[in-house]
Amino acid sequence: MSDKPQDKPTDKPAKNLDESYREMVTQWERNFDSFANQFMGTESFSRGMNQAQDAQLALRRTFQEFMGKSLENMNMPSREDLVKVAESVQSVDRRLARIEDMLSLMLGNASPSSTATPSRKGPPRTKKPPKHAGGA
Amino acid sequence: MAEFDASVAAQVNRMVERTIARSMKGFDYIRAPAAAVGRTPKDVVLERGTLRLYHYHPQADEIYRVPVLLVMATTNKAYVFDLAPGQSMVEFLLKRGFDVFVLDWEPPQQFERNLDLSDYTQDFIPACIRRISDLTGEPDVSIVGYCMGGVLACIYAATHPDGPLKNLACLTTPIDWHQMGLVRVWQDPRYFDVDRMVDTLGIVPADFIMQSFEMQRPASRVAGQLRVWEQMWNDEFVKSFRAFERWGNETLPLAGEYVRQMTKELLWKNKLVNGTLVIDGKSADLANIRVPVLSVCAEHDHLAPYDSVKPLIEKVSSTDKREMKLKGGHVSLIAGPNAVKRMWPQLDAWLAERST
Repeated sequence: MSDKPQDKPTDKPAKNLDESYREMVTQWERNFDSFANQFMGTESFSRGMNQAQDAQLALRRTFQEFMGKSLENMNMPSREDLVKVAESVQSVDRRLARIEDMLSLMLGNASPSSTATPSRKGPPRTKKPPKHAGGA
Repeated sequence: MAEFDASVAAQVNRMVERTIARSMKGFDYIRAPAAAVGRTPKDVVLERGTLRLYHYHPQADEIYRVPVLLVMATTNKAYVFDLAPGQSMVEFLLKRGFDVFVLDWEPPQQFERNLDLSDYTQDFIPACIRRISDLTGEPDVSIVGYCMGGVLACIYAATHPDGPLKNLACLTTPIDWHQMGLVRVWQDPRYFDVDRMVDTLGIVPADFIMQSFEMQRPASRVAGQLRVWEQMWNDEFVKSFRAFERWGNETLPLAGEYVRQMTKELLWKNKLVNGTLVIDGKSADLANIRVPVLSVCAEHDHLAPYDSVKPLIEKVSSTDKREMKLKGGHVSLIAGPNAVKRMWPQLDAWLAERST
């Protein structure tokens, strides 16, 4: 037994083809995701996925070591060496920024080391919330 | 019967028109360059390594006293707050009279692989707040954090109970990481060797991050393409779809140490909800937070489900606190046509009352 009267025509207009297509896509997406999530939410999937990832990482590490040794033999800097140089430059950069900040504080200015653009005078900060605003 | 015939004729007519439009516009769609995004005028007011702080030009004659800092999730670009005119949360807040700053992220470089939660919450966010204070002359700021940006904002707020912080709004911010469904299964400590991954890669590639998002909704990319084909005649839909697609494709890599710490401390030990997280010797217990707090979650959020977001309001000590559960998903909560109607006006109303 249904709650809806069977003899009355429905108020809803008949679906057109576009709406049916959209509904079909949404339904397919839901079903597929639900099915995939059931499968991917299992312990065995997690174990398999992580084993595959570990194998990939091991291969990558072996290749990195091989490349590192080859570059060393050719007397060329490896990626690691370049990263170390970049780290040193970054460290000098940070120290310079700190010194600039300290200098600007001593001179009573806003921190210029971080200033990509000068501070701009904006509109007055006097705005009040509208009476109807509700938040609490 | 005649009515039925007319209706069928109209449908066939429309179908033919749309098929022609699809064919013509489909070609443009394939060869079109990346969608233009993030066009609201702004200045970069702080840049340091992965960090970028933007200051958007005010668009109201009079603005609220307290500036607003939007903190983006570290996995994605912040232009999701500013997709296109009329679909921009930043533009909306500017027009409503807020002085808006956005903390965005560039892909971290190999030399930034050691960045961790301490760098993000004890260095980057405080540096942005100092800079905002320099520029505005205001002593305090409201923070609005999205997803992982909300987690960083919460840790900042908990480790800086004396501020300067006026209000804290968290959008889809996971607190109880044991409720994070598939991610928890996939990163089961028995099988997921986070140390090996971080030690080998240094920086966790964007592909890995994107895959872990997409695997949770594996049909969404194909379904998206099927939808856009059907809507190809609709310029507004296509424009919006392309902006979202670009944003999704521009997922960011993550600093390895940061991933290691998130996995061990937040996901495995669930320290944020237990109140046992310590950053730089400071307790990040959420009970330390006393400022007004707003927590907004989405009904159909598969990345930060409601059960993972819920404890925020329970744990903070604030007397002025509110939780909102709105229709939508993880991204549609903050951007797109639904956000315009649902979340943005609520955020505006909540902030307005607390920004003088």
